[in-house]
Amino acid sequence: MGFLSVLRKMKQKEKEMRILILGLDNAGKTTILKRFNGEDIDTISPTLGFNIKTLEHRNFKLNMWDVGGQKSLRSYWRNYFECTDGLIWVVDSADRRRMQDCKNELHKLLLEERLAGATLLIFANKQDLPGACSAEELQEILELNLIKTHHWQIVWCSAVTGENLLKGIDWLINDIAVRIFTLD
Amino acid sequence: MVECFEDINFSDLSVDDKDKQFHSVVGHIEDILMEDEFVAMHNAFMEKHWTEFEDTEENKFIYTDIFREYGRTIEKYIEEELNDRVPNFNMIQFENELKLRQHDLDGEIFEMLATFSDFCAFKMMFLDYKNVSLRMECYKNIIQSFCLFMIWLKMKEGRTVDFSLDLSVSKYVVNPF
Ligand SMILES: Nc1nc2c(ncn2[C@@H]2O[C@H](COP(=O)(O)OP(=O)(O)O)[C@@H](O)[C@H]2O)c(=O)[nH]1
Ligand SMILES: [Mg+2]
Repeated sequence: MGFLSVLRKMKQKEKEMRILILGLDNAGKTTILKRFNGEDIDTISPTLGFNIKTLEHRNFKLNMWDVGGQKSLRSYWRNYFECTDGLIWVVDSADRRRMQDCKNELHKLLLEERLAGATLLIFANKQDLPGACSAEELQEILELNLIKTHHWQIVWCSAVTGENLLKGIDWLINDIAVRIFTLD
Repeated sequence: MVECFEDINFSDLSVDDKDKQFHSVVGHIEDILMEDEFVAMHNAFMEKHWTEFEDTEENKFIYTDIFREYGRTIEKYIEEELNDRVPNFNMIQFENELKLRQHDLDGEIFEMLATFSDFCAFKMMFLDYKNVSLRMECYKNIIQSFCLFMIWLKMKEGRTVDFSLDLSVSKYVVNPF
C-alpha cells in the first residue's frame, strides 16, 4: 500500500466497511446487491467484470464489491481482497450439482492471507426454489464446521423475495463493527 | 556497517521541528500538484487510457489494472519530486507522520490526494475525460468537413485556396472549453 492509500484510509469517515461478495456464477450475487440497494432485479445479466455499490445502512457506509464468478473469472478475485472487512459467500442452494465446486472455492478462499481478518457470511440463497438445500444441509455439505480461522455464519435467504437479506447483512455488520470500531 | 549517516534523526527532533518539517513537505506537495509538469503527466495518462472506459454500471477488470497503474504513477512522481526538493526526504517517515496526524488532516490538499486512490472518483474522472475527448473529436470532424467544403467551393469558383482560413478555424477548436 502506497502513501495515497494510507491517506485515503485515514480520510474515510469512521464507519466505513468494505464488503466483498463472491461465489460461483449464477448464485445470485448481483441480485442480492441490487435488491439490497432497492434497484430493479429483472434485468440482471451475468457479470463479466465487477460492480460496486456504496450504500448507507444503520449509519454505516458499506462499500460493496460484487465480482463475476464464472470459472474463467475467478483468478481475478484476488485483485479485490485488499482491505476487505466482510466477505459474503453466496450459494445457489438449488444447484446441488455444483456443491463440491462451491465448497472447494470457498475453502480455497479462506486460505488467503489478505482475507484473514474478514468476517464471513454465507448466504444460502434461492430458498424460494423447490428442492433448495436448507441452511443446515449446506452447513454439512460445505463443511463449514471446519472453519476456525474466521467468524462465520450461514443465513438462508431469497434475493427474489428479499427474505432474510437484512438479517444476514445485520449479523455481518455487527460482527465487523465489534471487531474494528470498538477497538479504537 | 560504518556509521556514516549524517541524516537527520527524526526522533531527536523537537515537536516543533517535526511540525515544520511536515508542513514543509505538505507545502511542496501542494506546489508539485499545481505545476504544469504534473498536469501534463496526468493528461498523458488520461490520453493513454480513456478509450478503455465505457459509461456502463458494470466495470471491466482492466479498470482495476489502470487504477493501480494510476496510483503507482502518481506516487512515484510525487516521491521523486519530493526527493529532489526536500533534503533527506523519507517516504516511510512521512507516512508515519501522516498517521500521527490522522485527526488534523484537513484541507483541500488531503482531499485531493485521497481521491487519487478512490476507484469511483477515478472512474468518473475517466468518463468525464472521455466525454470531452469525444466532443473534441466531433468538433474537429465538423470543422474539417467544413474546411474541405470551403476549399471545394473555392476551387469550383476557380479561386485560389486560402489555407489561413483552415488554420484560424482549427485554432478555435483546440480550446473550446
Ligand atoms: N428463484 C430465485 N432466483 C434467483 C435468486 N437470486 C438470484 N436468482 C436468479 O439467478 C440468476 C443469477 O443471478 P445473478 O444475480 O446474476 O447471479 P450472480 O452470477 O451470482 O451475480 C438470475 O436469473 C436471478 O434472477 C433467488 O433468491 N431465487
Ligand atoms: Mg453477477
